[in-house]
Amino acid sequence: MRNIHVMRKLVLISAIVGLFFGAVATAVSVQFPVRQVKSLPAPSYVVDELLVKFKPHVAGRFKAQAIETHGDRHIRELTPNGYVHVKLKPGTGVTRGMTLYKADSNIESVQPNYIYHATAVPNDIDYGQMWGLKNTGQMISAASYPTNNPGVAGQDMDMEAAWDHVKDCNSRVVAVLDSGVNYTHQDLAANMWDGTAAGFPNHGFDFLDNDNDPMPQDAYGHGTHVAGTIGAVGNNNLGTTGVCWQAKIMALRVLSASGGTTAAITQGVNFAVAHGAKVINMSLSGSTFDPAFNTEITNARNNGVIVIVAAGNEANNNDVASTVYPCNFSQDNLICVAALDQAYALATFSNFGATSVDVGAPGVNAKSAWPGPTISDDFTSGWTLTGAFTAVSCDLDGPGPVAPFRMLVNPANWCAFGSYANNANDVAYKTFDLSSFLHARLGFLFFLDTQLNTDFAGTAYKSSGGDPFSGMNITEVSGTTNNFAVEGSADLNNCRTATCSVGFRLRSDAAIIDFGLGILDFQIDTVEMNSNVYQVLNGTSMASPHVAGLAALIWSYNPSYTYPDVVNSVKNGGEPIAALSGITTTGRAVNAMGSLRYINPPSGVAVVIQ
Amino acid sequence: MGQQGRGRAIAVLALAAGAISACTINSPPETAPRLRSMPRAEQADRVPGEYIVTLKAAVNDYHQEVRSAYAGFGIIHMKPIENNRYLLKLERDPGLSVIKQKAEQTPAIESVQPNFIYRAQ
Amino acid sequence: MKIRTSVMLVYSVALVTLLGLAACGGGGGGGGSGTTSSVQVSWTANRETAVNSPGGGYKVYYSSTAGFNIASANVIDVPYAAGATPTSTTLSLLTGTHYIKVIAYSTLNPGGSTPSAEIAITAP
Repeated sequence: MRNIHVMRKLVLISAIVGLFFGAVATAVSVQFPVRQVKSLPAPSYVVDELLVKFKPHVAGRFKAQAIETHGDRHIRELTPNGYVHVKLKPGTGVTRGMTLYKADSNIESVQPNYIYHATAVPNDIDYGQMWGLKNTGQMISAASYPTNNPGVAGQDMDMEAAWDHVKDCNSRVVAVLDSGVNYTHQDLAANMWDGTAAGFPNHGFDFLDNDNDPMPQDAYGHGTHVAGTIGAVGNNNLGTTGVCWQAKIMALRVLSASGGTTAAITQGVNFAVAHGAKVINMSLSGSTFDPAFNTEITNARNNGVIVIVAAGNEANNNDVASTVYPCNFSQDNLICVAALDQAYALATFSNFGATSVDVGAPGVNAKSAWPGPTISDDFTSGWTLTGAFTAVSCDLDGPGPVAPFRMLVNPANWCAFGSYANNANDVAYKTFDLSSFLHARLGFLFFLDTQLNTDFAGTAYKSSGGDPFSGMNITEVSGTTNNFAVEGSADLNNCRTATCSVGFRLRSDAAIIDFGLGILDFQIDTVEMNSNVYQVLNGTSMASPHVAGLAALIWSYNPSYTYPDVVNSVKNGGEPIAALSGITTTGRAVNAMGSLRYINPPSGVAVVIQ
Repeated sequence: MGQQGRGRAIAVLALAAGAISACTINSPPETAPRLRSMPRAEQADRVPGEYIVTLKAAVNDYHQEVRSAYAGFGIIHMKPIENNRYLLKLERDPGLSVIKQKAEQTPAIESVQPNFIYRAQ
Repeated sequence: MKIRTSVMLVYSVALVTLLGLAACGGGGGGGGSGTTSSVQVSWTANRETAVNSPGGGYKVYYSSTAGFNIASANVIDVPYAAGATPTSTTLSLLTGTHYIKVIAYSTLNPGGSTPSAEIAITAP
């Protein structure tokens, strides 16, 4: 798969030929044996030892003195983090010891000497790439976010320690409001919500096409990727693992490749709440306060449902003019998530906000499930080119240094600002075998400069092959993209044959010419039955499901928790990190073991004289 | 806008054969063709011609009242979504202030708002 | 002189009796320094699984100083036992005002939660 290292954000200007319903795929349920790594019994810390960290200015003799005053024994200084290993005097115990040392003004922090036993490590083949769950300082392959790759060992959600206590999130259904999920994906099928009893046999609903099949009809893989981060089957010797090894994922399609709307999303929230989801993930954002959406968040809150959302990818401060919703809604059942990189720096694209964004989570070079293989083409071979259509390498201007791009252009000297010919009727096309896919969609980038309304660029496909412009499925545009590349696409659901020809045309009249057409980044996204494809992506979209999975995990471990308990645990159990300080409400990166450790202060204390 | 491997952005669907913008004839730009993002402020935040209408609870004959209010703009459909809310699709979009004015004059209507657009992150 | 002293003694005893003060030590209900009250402290059960499991529990801290640091306070441990973690305990408190805080702990977090809000009680 080609990886584009240049960040490109583009405007979609061409119409989709038409959306068609794909074949309804039946879910394939696969059982994999779960091999449990056996852990040693309690206690989980040494009962008469502590690790004590003194403040930086404290001289060695004062440290020794402090310890001796308590009657304890100094074992050793642990470098380089400055912790002192202390043996407590008999009878003190860890809890009392911690209380005593915490009261000493020379001491910064104190913790038990935890015992680490064989933690739960899943056998999934790609687990080694999942830096967000376990960061060993590994280099992520096929990465598109180059900064801090490799990152820093230890900068992760501390999942292995947490999995020692809980891995199964089945007791709390997580709804993914997104572009749909390929629920036949080999690493997701066993972890999909079973809605059959409620009348929903395909694990969810599609609120764009208004049918009960949440497959991504337009082959847009975003939702499948998000679902995998939450709950890809863990320890099945395949692919990745979710934050949850076992899960019940409810797939609700409210986004297409061109976006979603209030109407679809509010219906999705309503459905999720009505059908028993306890956590909702929304890796999406809009810019304007939306009363109907706000009402649905409150509805979710009234039903004890937690909503986890992405902060947005514009590197903006959500607290000021450029508001982001649902992130900026203020209900206390909503957690807004920023993206961290492999060194736990804030990802350069991530939004933030001291009052609107709550926590950070891994959000770059995130590997997860993908609906089907991507067919990329760089125009090198197999193309029928007529007229002035030529395959070239062209230097384009973009942010940072960029290599020449493989392009399909008309005229041949498009790169040097040549002009197309009058009376042109040039086509370029290639034939693809799309017969094995459930859905397919063409995407590409293009530059356009044609005489308005008389000269046209066109896209076409034909399921029986040959010149696609001899068929009926043609879309044309005219005018100029003002020297910017924009996104083009075509729905190929009606072209899923072994001989689907796809191509472009430039036609012109007898007078006035312009710079013509330049096409790059041609790829066909697909949905495949039983997909075993994975993709590496960046975004606060990827950070959010890390937190949604964590919320379900915490709740599964603590089934008596109310929704505020879970929210407190996610927020207060996180690890304070410099990158989030002052730009989020908590200053913390979510941490699974921290959340399992977190205990709410007792409430309702009453004292009565007998 | 997706900060993803392919950097795909989501934006408004434009008309199939419509003009993109006026054409500048044969004056080469100063720079090479560029790859660049469209600023967020320029992206449409709402679907043209679509509004979410919330009716007051226990309204029986909403069709008549709402259709009377908005018939002049060519009602394509009015679909129930949930909780007394309906998605109204119009052939001609007069803009939010006119839509709101009409709503104020229609007792059956509790509130109206645009059908906002959301994008994957 | 002798008579005066006896009279003084009688008056002293009468005075002591009038004030209800025992001549030599000994408690007895109804107050006075040196008496303790039985005080029941209760709280809402924490919902953490680990607090309600073996190795979990609460600690009730009490002191006569408002805003006290638990490191220097009296403490009663209320651990998980016989299948449950209790949510109340009884303190014996001397006359005066006492301040009480409760923390919850578990094997995952032996240092325990941050304390509950402080409650004051005046023992008679």
